[in-house]
Amino acid sequence: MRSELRHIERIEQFLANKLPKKEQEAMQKQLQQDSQLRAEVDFQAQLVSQLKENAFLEDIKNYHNTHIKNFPPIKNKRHWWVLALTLGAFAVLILAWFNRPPVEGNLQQIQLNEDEYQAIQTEGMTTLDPSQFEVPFQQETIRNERGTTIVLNNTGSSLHIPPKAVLLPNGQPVEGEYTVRYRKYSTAAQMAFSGITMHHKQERFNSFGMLEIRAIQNGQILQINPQEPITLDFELLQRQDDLLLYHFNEKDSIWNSLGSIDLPPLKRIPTKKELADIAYNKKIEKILKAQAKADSINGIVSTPTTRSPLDTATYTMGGKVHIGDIAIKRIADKEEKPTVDSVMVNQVLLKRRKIVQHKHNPKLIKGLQLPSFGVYNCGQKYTVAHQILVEASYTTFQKNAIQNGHTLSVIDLDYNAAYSFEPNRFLCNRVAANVFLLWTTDGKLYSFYKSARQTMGDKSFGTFAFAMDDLTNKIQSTEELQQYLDNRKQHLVN
Amino acid sequence: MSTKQSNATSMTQKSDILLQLRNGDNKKAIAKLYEAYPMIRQFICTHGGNDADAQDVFQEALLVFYRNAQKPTFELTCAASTYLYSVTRFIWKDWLKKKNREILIEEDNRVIPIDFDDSLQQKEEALQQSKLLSKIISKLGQKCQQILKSYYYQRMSMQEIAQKFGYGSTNSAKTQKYKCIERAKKMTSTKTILSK
Repeated sequence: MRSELRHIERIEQFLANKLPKKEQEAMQKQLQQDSQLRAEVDFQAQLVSQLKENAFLEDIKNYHNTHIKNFPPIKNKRHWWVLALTLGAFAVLILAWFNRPPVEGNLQQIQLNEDEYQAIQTEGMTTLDPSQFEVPFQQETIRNERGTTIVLNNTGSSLHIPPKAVLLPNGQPVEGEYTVRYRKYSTAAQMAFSGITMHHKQERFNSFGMLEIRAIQNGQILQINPQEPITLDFELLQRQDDLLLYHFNEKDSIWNSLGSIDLPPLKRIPTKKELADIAYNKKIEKILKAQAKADSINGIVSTPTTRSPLDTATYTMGGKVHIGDIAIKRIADKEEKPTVDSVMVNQVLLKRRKIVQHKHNPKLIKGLQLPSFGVYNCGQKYTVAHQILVEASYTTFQKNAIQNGHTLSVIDLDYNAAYSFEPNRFLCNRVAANVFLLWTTDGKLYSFYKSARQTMGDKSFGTFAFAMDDLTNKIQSTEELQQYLDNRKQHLVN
Repeated sequence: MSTKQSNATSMTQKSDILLQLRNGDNKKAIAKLYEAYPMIRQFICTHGGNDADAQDVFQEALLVFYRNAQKPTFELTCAASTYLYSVTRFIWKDWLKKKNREILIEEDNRVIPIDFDDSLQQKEEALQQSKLLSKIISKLGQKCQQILKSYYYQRMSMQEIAQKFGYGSTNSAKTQKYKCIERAKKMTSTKTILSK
């Protein structure tokens, strides 16, 4: 190395305090006397600082453009009328505060209801095994040369696997049998323990059904043959417009959108009343035909079936009263009837919540093409309203600090999903009904239920201490956890 | 629940961020620091600013944090978000002052005192120096920039750099790194750059 370069190296080592002690001190002395050396050392230090800062700024900008850019705008609230409304609302809040039920918590230290506090006086010693909360896989064995259709357990969903649908990791075709494993995440409780993020950049998911599908052969993870696509008929948890299909990119832990989902048109079979009308009409037609036949035999000209319904309701033939007129009148009075085959659903009926029986499953989306194995989610993204960044600490009911939090799952009861955070800091909707599930490193599960009434202030930042309910002894499965959440929802409705 | 998430307590989180920034694990630290952004954006947007202002001010605050994190003596005595919030308030007040705008910024007990001991003149000089150095760095060429960034910012070892850039040995990579610094030195007149 040239002497100039050695000189640069020496300055670098001096700046990093890596020269031997004596040399470091000597250099320090030299710097006090030699202004040229001092300037060189300063330059090198500044150059390195600038390099680092430029790189840091570049990383910040990249992060901002990727994660932050599409934040919804904050509305300017500094209009006089907003102020007036705020004052009005404030007055109402003050009134409400003085009339509040005695069990509500305060701003900084939120407590559970007294009766819940009383219900659990002892903290269990049991610990939970996280694996007991995982949704188990179902599996089927398939011969690659044949393919098959798998009807997924307990759902209306089915997976159509054509012959030669899978390939080995190296792209070679699979020979013989392989195993397809799948599981469906339907509830927030299942999602809370899925290990799959329900965040999508700065937005969150509201899921209408999530399905994980894998294929393996002799321990090797298989891939889908792009020439023989696998299709999925997926039954949504609930029929919903504007849904998108997402696939979870496990490498980068992000969801990729595969496009919007086209819901099948709603078709229904006739209601009981409509079926009765149709049967009645058929019966009348039969009577009329018989009547016409009898008339022609007797030489009487029959009355056309299209005659006015205002015509007399009875006429006699041979002294007998005929019901034909009544039938004709009823037919003419009625509007067009639905056929037995299918009828487009009447939106008004739906809005009035009349129960209609659908000819096809209205929640079933047919023919979703799967580009690869993994996790799929039919959902909607949304941005958390009334955001608050919470700095949290936790205690038990006995006021013992919980310091070994591992993960916090935030469940907003208005949505079907669970959102994971590090326990000490998380974002949530400060006015929504939320359940905070805290999983600790020693395998305990705690919960805090914040009703929509309990306030977390009106700022976007707050520090709170949560008195947690120990669920460890009470909840042993995702079903039980979901029951717990459903009870909270019920509480919300009531 | 995700097993990827750490069970670090608040105190270790504070030192984690400093460690990450000092050890070149910058992207993780940035993601963590950006958790304070909604709060800071809210503050700027409700005190006479807009989204673009929020972005600029927050990035300036992050830079202040980063500079301090490089000092071995710097320690966080509060949450990183509180620190950033305090810096942001200071910077935003300064911006408003420069623009001759009067916006009431109420007292906030979350704010911690931050030392900004540079005088205005020093700030201006530092800004000029920074612009000049950035210009020099941009003229070094892509490879030099990447090598220097890998070593100083990402804290890669010379062995890793040699592998990444295809040098036969660690010494060759090291020589190249010093050549890059030498080039930067030569690119400017001593008088302009080395003046303090």
